[in-house]
Amino acid sequence: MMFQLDYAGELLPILLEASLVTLGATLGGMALALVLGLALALLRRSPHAVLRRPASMFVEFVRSTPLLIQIFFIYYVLPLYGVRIPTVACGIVALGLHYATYTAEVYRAGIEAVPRGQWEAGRALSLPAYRIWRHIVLPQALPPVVPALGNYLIAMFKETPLLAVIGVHELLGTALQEASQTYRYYEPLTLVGLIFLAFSLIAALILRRVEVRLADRS
Amino acid sequence: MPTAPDALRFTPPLDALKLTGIRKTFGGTTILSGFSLDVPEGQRLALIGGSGSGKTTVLRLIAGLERPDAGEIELFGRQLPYRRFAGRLIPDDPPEARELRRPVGMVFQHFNLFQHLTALENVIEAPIHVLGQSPAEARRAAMALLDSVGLADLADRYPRQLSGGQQQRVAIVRALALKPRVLLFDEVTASLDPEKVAEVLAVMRALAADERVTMIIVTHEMGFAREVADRVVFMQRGVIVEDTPAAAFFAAPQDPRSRAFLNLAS
Repeated sequence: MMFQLDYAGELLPILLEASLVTLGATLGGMALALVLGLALALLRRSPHAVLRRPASMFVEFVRSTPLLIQIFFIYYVLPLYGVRIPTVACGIVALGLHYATYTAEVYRAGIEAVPRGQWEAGRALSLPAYRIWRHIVLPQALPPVVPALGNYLIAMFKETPLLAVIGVHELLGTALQEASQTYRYYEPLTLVGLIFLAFSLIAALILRRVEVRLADRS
Repeated sequence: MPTAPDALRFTPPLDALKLTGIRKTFGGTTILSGFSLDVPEGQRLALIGGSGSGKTTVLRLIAGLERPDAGEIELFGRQLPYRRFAGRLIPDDPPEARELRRPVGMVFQHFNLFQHLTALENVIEAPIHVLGQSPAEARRAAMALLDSVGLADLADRYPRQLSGGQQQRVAIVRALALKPRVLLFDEVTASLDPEKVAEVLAVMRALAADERVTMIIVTHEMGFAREVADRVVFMQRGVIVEDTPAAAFFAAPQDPRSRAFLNLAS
């Protein structure tokens, strides 16, 4: 059974359309992970234990359980509590929550790399804490960690096929659906792999350019 | 000389600063125990002593960068409030404390200029966001100050594009832009190349001559302390060993430990 080019040609438009779902889930998940991760990183540095502890526990908990289980959990358990969101949104929330615990660590590293003296100068100038965070510390903490954040973006992208288990019609799910009708897996799976490869390469290239830009700036 | 009747006397100047019974330990090491110090407004106080004597800790406590384990700090007659939280990197800073500490400026050994901001932006940050000046107003005042220390043409440079001496002059200007009534100098020339020390000392000398600001200077530059200070407090292991007018201290230190220190330093 050889690779059939015309079947592949037939599949390509369907899979490219499905790749938009994959891209959407990745971008949505990453947006959530970037925002929530920063919030977690800041909460974990709070002087108030009531903020710090739950944030730390959340990070530990999420990092210690498989993403696949989290996806199922959000899909099957949230509706029991009256939270009804579309399947894709479930996937985005799961990816976002999961990766937020990783981006939180990346942010933490960036924040800790800002010399203490920057804080102290801000405090000695009587700047309020939020002002020191937003205008002194974060502008210095974030640029160096952009590459690390970008790597998680790519990693998350490669995990989106997990969403097929809850019926998100992303790349893999769509490919499997097509395959189940023809019993041909060679072409759909090959195409899925190639599409992932293409997107990953493009993302890596973009990331590389961003890194160079940032390096030039400092 | 006849003394004036009590009613005609000036009320003594307010204490700019009053530390009472300060205790501070770091990880089991006691840096200060029962440390007290009054500084009248307008005084130029040189705080000297060997490393580990606690002099930098005194400045950091006043600036709010450390919190005392016990004791009180008063600024212009008002006591600084502290909230109790587990020892975090950045202790909680109640707005009242920040307000009370606003007249206190600090200049650091390692300058601590904001690396991502230009010299000018470093200077105008607090006037705009603490004093509420308009950006144009803050910019004008900052340029005048930068000009007074000979740095007007470097206003748009980033800290990494400036020499150590230039950075420290920007840092002094940044502190001055908040119109402080108390200025704390923490070994501000200690990390400068020898040839840059003079330019920073010149700025401080001019400050001491012109301004009414109270200055507390932690320094190893004995010549400078002698020239600028009107009072010397010599510390060792968290304790004040000698507290005298500067002239007397440098002419004839009373305590053998101060004498030993001066001999080593000069």
